[in-house]
Amino acid sequence: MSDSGPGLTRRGFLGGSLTAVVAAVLGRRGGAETPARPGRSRVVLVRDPEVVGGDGELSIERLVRMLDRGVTALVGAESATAAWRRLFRPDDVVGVKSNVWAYLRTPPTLEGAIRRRILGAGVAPENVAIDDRGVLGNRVFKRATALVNVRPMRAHHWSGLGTCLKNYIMFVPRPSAYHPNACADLGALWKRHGLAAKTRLNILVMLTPQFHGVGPHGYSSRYVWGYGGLILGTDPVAVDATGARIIQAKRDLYFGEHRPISPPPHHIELADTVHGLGNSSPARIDLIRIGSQEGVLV
Amino acid sequence: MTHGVPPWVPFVGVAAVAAAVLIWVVLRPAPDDARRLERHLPGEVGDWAVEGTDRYGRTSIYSYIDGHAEVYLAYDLRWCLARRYRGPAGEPDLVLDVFRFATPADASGVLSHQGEGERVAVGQGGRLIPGWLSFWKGPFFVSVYAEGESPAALAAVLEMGRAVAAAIDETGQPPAILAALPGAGLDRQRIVYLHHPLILESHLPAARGNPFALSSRTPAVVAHYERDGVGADLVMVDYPDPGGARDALQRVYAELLPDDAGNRLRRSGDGSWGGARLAGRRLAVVLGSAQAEMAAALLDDAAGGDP
Repeated sequence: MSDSGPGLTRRGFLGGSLTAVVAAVLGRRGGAETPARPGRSRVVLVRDPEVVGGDGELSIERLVRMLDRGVTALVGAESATAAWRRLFRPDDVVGVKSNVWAYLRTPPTLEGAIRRRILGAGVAPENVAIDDRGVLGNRVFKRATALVNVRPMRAHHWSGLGTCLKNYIMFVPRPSAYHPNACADLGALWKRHGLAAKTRLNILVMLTPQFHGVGPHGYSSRYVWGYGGLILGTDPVAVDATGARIIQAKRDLYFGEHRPISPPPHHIELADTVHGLGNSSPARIDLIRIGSQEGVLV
Repeated sequence: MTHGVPPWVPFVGVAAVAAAVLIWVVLRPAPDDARRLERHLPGEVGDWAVEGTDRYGRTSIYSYIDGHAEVYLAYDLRWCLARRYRGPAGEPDLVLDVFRFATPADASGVLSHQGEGERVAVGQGGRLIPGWLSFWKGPFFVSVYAEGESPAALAAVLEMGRAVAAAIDETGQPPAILAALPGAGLDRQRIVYLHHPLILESHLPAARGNPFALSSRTPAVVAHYERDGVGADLVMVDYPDPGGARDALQRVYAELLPDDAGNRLRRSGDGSWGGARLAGRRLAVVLGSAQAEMAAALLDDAAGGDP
C-alpha cells in the first residue's frame, strides 16, 4: 500500500508527474534524442528497514517486493507485471548499468531481480546484460535500445556523491576527464552520448548508503547505515537530488552540526540548471513514499 | 614466382614485441625498495595474520583504488604495496596500504590532503579516526584500515602502524614552503601541500582551470586562516623562476581577483576580499576574506622573503 507524502494524493499524480513518466518512457522508445526536461518529476522512495538483516545479509524476498512496489508506483500501473511491461517491450535490447565498487556494490540479488523482471516483460535473454566497467566493450550494451541504471549511493572523493548521474562515467574511455570541478559536467555526458534517451529506469540503492568517506579507499563501515531504501525514477537528476537530501540530513544528524557534503555534489544541480537533464529542486519533484517512515530523513 | 619476404612477417614481429612487453609488464619484479620493505613488514599482528600481498604501479593502481587513484598520481606515486590481514573469528580484516612516492614532501602531502583524524604518535604526522590510521614516513604514506570496528581491531591497527613505521628506515623533512606560512590564525588542521591543480581545486573550488599554473615544478600550499572570526585562504606557490611567478600573478588577477579595489587589495567575483604579492619566485595570494583589513594583514604577513 502506498502512503504518499504530505500534501500529495495518489489521485493528484494521475495528472502531472505520471504523465511525465509515461511520456518519458514512451518518448524514449522512438529515437536517441535527449528528452526535454519534464515540468515535474516523479520519484518513488520505497523502504523496508528489515530488508537488511542484523548480519548484513539482504532478504531477497523483501528486496524484490520493494523493487516491484517501487516500479509499480513509478509507472502508475495496476500490477508489477504491467509496470515492467510498460517500461520494456519484447524487442528491446537492455543494458543494466550496475556498480561493482568493492566496498559497496550493487547487490547481485538486486541485479538478478531486475534481470528477471526484464525477461518477464518479454525481452530475450540474449538481449539483456548487466555490466559496469566493461560497458564500452559489451556487445549487448553496444546495441542497447534501453538502459537501467542501478547503483548504491555513497560519498565520493571527486563528485561529493556517487550518484546515478555519476554511474554513467564508465561510458567514456577516460572517466577521469569528468573529474574536474567536482565532476560538474556529468550531465553533459548523458546528453553527448545519447544515454539520457535510452535510460528507462534509474534506481539509487539506499539499502546501506555511505554518508562520509575516508582513507585511500574512501570507505569506512562507520559511515554507512541501514536505511533500507530504494529510490526510483525516470529522471536521474530528481532521483539523485532526493538521495542527496537524505545523505545531507544523515550527515547533520551524525556529526551533530551542519556538515556539508564535500566536495559539494553540484553535478546534480548543474545537470538541471546547465544541462537541462531533469529536475533537482524539491519543488518540482513529486515524491511518493512507500513503506516505513521511521528515520526517513526526507 | 617471387621470393621476397612474406607480407605477414612484419606483423609477426610486431606481435612478438607486443607480447614480450606484455609479459614484462605482468611479470616484472617489484622495485628493490618494495621487496626490501616487504621483507620487513609484519607477518602477524596480535591474532591477525597476513593473507596475501599485492603490488600496484602507476597504471594498475586504478584497479585497486577506484576513484582515488588520481590523488596518488597527483602526488607522483611510484608504487603501492597492499596487504590483507585475516583476523580471528568475529573480528574484521585489516588492510595495510603502503604508498611509495617520489619524495617525502609528496608523502606528507597526501596525508595533508586526506586531512582527518586526531594526532597519534605513529610515524610522521600520524592521524587516527576509529578504524583508520594514516601517517607518512620518509617517502612513504601508510594507511591501516580495519574493515569493521572493535576494541581488538583498533588495538591491532595501532600495533600494525607502529610495526610498519619501525620497518621504514627513512624519515623526511616537511615541505620547505610550509615554513613560510604565517602563524597567526593558522588552522593547523587545514594545511595542504600540493603541486597538482586537481588537488588545489578540491580544497579551493574557485581555482578550477589551474589559474596558478601548477605543475610538478611548483611546490605549493593552501592553508586556511581565522582571525577574529574572519576566515580566509592563503595560497603560496614557488615557481622555478620569477618570470613564472609574474605570469601566474596576472592569470590569478584575471580569473580569481578581477576587481582592483585599490590600496593593494582586490575583490573576487563573489565580492570577497583578496590580494596577491610577489617575492622573487614566490607568489602569495589571499582569497575569500569577508574583511579588507584581514585580507591586507594576512597578505602582509605572507609576503615574506624570497625562497
